[in-house]
Amino acid sequence: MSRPRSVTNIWPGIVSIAALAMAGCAAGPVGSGAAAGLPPADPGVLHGRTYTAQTIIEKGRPRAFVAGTSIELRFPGDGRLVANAGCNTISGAVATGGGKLGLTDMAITEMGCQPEQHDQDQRLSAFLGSRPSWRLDGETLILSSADTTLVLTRAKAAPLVGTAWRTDTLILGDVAGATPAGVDATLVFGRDQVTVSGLCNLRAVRYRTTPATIAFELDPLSHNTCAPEIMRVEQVAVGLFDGRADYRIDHRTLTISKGDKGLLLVAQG
Amino acid sequence: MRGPVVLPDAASHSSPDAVDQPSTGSGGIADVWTTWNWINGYPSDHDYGLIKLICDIGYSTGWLGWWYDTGENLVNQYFYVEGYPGDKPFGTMWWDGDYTYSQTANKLWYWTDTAGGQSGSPVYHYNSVTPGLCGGWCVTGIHTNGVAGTNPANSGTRFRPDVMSFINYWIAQP
Repeated sequence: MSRPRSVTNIWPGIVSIAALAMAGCAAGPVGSGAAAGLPPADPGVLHGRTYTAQTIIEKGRPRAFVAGTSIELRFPGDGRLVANAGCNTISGAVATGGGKLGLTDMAITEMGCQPEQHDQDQRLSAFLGSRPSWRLDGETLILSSADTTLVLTRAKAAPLVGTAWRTDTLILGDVAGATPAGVDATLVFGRDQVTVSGLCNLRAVRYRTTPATIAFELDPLSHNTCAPEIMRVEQVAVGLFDGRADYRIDHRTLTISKGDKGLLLVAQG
Repeated sequence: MRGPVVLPDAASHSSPDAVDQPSTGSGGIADVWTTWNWINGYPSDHDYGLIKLICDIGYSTGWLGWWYDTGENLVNQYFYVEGYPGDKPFGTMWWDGDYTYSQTANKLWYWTDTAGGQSGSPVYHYNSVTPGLCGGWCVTGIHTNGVAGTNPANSGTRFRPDVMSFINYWIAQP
């Protein structure tokens, strides 16, 4: 949130750069907070987890989320919390000791969105900045401040097999770019074969998995030429699908990588 | 990101009450790139990206210069941020100027007013702070963040070697 605008001037013109979320605390009623029970046994248990909010209670009354939005808290495991309420991203270093969730070096992006989404962003930012208490009740994470309680459920990772994974981002070394407009490529992992749609020559590839890798067996491909943007994505995909590649599923995101190239795909449906 | 169109000087396109300006056209998007560091966890230091257009719209609209000097002190300098704040009438471009508050090697904090919708706006200054690197209106940062938690000021990503290498690489691509 910015300071109240005091001196602002309209200057019609162009700016040419666009460069642009313990085990075993006793279960209690929602809203009791950690103060009503023991502090979490292992503050580090949140690391590596993602939680999505189900309910927010303000001054004893449930508050509806903005239509079409949800609140997600990610604890990536690097000592930070990344939160999103449907528009902007809130991040900061997180400390979870003493049953309190403390955020320092908080930052919130300033993308434009509907006013009600901005309001939801600001409410979440203020809540997370209020050093709420936290506790776990099984797969439920409960954050509580003086007048607000946020109830979240641990997000389950989408299954590799059976999910329609749509290409979203190309990873080329240290940079990452959106899948070009006009490319709508999808992977569906069957029992032992990946079915590919939306590319040019790559239609199917056999595979086997280990906990962290996928061994692809790619048969010779046809040599059709399609739109350059499709060929660009296919070139990356073929490189990944020739032999063994690393993979990781984070909630609804699948990352397949080999060396410095990779594809980030998002679960559909 | 699928199907957006870049609309420079949006006021002249979308707001009948805005200052009358000739349309400068709009640009389709050829590429959208950011850093893997940003995608992989959203660290604020790596909050920058690039949209490459399919047209040379700068010849119609003009452009700003840029500079960086990793050794310079930018604190207590008067900087401007200009963009499309969401708390103003839709599609109208505004600027504000104020002093900078603090800096790190990767970020700059400033008292300049901003609002949601201004992520990606230039953080600029008249002439480079380090003399001789850039003349006229020159950019040395990209606005990224508003006030949150105990952090009192708005902030942006500073231009630096890795940021400019990233930008220049993609500019050079066909």
